[in-house]
Amino acid sequence: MIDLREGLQELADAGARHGTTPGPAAAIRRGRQRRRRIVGTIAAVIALALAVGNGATARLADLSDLPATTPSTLPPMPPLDLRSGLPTGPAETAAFRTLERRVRRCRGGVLEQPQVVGYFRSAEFRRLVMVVAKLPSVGEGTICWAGGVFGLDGAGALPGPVRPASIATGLGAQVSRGAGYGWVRGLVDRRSFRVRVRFRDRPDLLDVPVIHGSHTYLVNFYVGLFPPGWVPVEVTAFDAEGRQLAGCAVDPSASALPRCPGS
Amino acid sequence: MADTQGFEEFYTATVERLLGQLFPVTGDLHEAEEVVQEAFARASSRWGRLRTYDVPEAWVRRVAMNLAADRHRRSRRQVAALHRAGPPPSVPPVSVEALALVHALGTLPIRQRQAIVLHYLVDLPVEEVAATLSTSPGTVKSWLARGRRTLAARLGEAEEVGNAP
Repeated sequence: MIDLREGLQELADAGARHGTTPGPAAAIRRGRQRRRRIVGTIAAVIALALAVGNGATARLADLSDLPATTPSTLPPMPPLDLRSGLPTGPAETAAFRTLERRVRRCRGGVLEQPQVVGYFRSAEFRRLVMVVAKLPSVGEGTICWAGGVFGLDGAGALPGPVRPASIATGLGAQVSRGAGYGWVRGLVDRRSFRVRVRFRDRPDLLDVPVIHGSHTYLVNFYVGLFPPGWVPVEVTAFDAEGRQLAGCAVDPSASALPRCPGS
Repeated sequence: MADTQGFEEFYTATVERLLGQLFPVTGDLHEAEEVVQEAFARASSRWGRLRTYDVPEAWVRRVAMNLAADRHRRSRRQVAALHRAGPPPSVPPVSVEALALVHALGTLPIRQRQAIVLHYLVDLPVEEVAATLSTSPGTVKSWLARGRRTLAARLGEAEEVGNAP
């Protein structure tokens, strides 16, 4: 026997008693970050309109290279100036075609076309970074996705085939080398805000912004670039309030953490 | 900072109540925490204006309800995957009857769930529920009636589940 009002009140009391939030200061911080993102987007749209009007589209790539909000001794990564949706520029289109072909061949996910999760440009490394994925099918525990690093003209290739990756993984990492850079990428828990990379024999820490895709991917993604010769040892995921969510070792011989899936 | 003056007090005074109101809507405590925190984040960046409102809490509740509906729509296609691959919904310790109510609420369309919570828990009149959910009072009455009917059938207590508005 249950009275609707009484039942709802019991649920509300339990929710109020057991629910926890990060507090007002965290809400204020999150509000400011959101506002900065909106202002940045509006500024980018206005700049785009002006640039198109002036025939100065060639300079637009520089808009992506906003300074990171997180202090780092490494070149800053654009934290959230992420483009999404079907790319329109020739370099972005070429990069998408490369990734899309590879992700399509990966066995798994829905039948529809792989989609762009996000892309951005790094001025420091003169590279275009893009993540493409297929939506997982209902009940599927894996996702087909690829992160790629390309020249600013969209030229580039992927190191190895794209294989389904587990979406149950809280944090994964793969490291590759390119000409004049190294890069690390992986899947990460949806609550994550940044992934911090520690390197062998270096005090430097690289903070990589998490690429938030659609809720339906069930996971988020990250791709970080670093100077050549640096060797990632471990990666750690943090939420927006700086709480550590997961950590794993890219190089188990130099870390006490468990080995990263995918490394 | 002057822009956020009074926000912390407002947050502290209302966050638990809003969590309690959003939990029956989402059916998952973590989800409720997430939408409430996001609604407060949005409130903080408009606090200069919101603090002049008679009931700023109503604004936060409305935003949280909209966020809950948005997230529900986005995740609908993946519900089965979430149930299989992800953790089970987070539910605090409650009585068997209340747990059954959580499950029964979860079978309702999100708008019916919201209408029921706003009317029977928050005690808003039908007109205010309609304003909060950006619809007409007639639609709200229909949602409430259908929601009650479904809940009664699910809980096997047709006469016990609420009264018509």
